Amino acid sequence: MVKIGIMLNAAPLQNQSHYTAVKIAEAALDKGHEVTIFLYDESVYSPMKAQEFPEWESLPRDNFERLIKKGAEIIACGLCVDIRGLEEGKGYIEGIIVGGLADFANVVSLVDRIITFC
Amino acid sequence: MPAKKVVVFFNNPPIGSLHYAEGLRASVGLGAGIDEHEVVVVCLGDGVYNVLKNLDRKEIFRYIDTFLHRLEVPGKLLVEEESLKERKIEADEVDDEWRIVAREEIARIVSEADIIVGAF
Repeated sequence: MVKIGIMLNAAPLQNQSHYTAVKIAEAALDKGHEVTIFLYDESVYSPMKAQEFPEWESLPRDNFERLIKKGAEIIACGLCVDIRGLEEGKGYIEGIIVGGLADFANVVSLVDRIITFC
Repeated sequence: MPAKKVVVFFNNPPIGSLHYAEGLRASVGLGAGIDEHEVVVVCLGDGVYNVLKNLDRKEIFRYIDTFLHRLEVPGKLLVEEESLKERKIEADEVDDEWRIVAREEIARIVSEADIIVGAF
């Protein structure tokens, strides 16, 4: 079993980063590995509950809900949350931890690898 | 938990994104955590434009200061020599805080690192 840390920086709808990170995280979880995702910069929009788009089967928040159910830990950078007016993650889905860079430093301590998506 | 050797890569230019400021903030955070990781920042590719002397640093100077002088284990700021040459940037255009190192040396640092974070 490997411990994988993922630093996600990109906004959920900016490019393919969100979906690639989710796919890698899900594949790792399905194989029994541990995954912690640290949301930094624009990626802190990803877990907002109030996402709607009728033609999409799986919105960014749905992807994160699925990962959390499979055991992933997801931490959002608190300063990134606050500077974007996200009110300490009040609009987030259940299970998202709003923390800080100290948490990312801790993730680095605990994991075997970090994968970054900008 | 033991401190780890962490390399943070910057390969985006300073203008057009938040990568430079936010990458430096993350680098400071990595060094300031309980485990006080040993952090090396490496600029390469278009990231070398971040090290120019005349760059406006008012948004990030405190991160540089903390990174280099105020952490328990001070960080290192490196810029790749080959990337500078490819962009015709002379050594005297590089800010004093950054050390110019050859690609081979960066490869060695990467090979000895525990964790790679990149790229901002």
